[in-house]
Amino acid sequence: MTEKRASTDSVAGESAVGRQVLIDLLGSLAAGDKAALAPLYKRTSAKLYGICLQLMRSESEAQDVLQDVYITVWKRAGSFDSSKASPITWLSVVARNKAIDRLRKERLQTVELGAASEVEDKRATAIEIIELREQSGRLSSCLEELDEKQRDAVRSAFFTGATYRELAERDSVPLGTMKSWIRRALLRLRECLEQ
Amino acid sequence: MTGKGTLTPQERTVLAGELALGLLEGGKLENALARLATDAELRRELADWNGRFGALFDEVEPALPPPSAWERIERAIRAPAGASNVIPLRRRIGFWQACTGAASAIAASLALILLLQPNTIANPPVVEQPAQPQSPSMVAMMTTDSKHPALMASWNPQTQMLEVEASAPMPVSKGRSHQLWIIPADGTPRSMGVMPESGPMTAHVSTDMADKFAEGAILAVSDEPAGGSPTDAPTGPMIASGRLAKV
Repeated sequence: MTEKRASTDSVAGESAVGRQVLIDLLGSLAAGDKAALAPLYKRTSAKLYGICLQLMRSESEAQDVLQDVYITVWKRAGSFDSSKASPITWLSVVARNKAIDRLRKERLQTVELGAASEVEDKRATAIEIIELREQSGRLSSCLEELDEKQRDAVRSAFFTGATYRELAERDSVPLGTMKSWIRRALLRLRECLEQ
Repeated sequence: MTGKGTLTPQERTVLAGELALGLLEGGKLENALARLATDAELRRELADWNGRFGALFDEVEPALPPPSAWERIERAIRAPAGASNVIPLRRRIGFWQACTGAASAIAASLALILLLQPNTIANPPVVEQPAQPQSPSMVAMMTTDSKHPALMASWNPQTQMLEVEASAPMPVSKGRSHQLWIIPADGTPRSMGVMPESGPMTAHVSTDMADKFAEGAILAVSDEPAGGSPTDAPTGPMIASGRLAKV
């Protein structure tokens, strides 16, 4: 894992100019200007492909997801609110959610379809409209304050996109135990970040 | 935490965090999504969690995708009517002729349209209707010729409210407008009015038009002169259409 640079107001490594360029490109896309996608891709695809690879584990699946991501960005650019969110974080959340949608669909192919796949489709539609409000709290220091098990559970959930069931199986703990680790972690993180 | 009842602030914090992380599945996920549609406080918490966890993305190693990845994306965006929703005129005339049958078949009644304040929230609302005990709520996913999603319509028979929202950019050419039509079982399009230039369209439908909104009825958008078709029938190409289906 790379060192996270100290930064409270901006996403690490995102300059004010870079941020504005992305905001402008997303604005152009929202207005229907297809030509804005290429420069946006050039600036952001390495980060987003990294996220897709992290979650999908295979290059070809990561590339499939990457395609979905930029098509979604093209369709949903109008829903990005620059007064609330950092553009690169918004794009990253789109990428992570698309990867999770794909992971869910693949898992469903091996089990019963029907109702289960329906709710996943709903998830894909609902979460496609990314709700995002930029925060100024220090997540890394608040994570450090958690118990090790709670911190590992949250990090594992984030970086692997696993469900409660999958997390519990991986750690060989009861489902209830994993749920209570995550729940306590979320409550303590919020308290710490809202200080 | 059951599917019913108001959430405590702590429950909301946890549920929003679970949604942000993607921990839920099955019935629990379904309940959470249903809550998201109606609970603005929950949406706000979800937005906050997405923002908080955003810092973790910096720990992911970036990776250069192969050139083929961009080629695929470019092809998908560039595809005919892939992102542009305006269909060439000659391909679409047949649709209206098939619908209206004889050229003289004209819609007798027009729906009473009251265009309300456009939605001012930055993020468009999720289309999710609670289950109705009597008449079921319905939605129509309106797609272009090449099956790309263009608009989503939702119909509430209890309130007789129709809401139509674009899910892809739908630029209107100068001097033109987009007009919405309902095509019920008899095949005759009835005008639902000209769509606003931006933002979702919300309309209250008159009682005598409301029964046209049955399962299987088609909602369609056509490209018309500014102000709408000069006749009671569509004159321009169809841009998108979809059938009403129960939620």
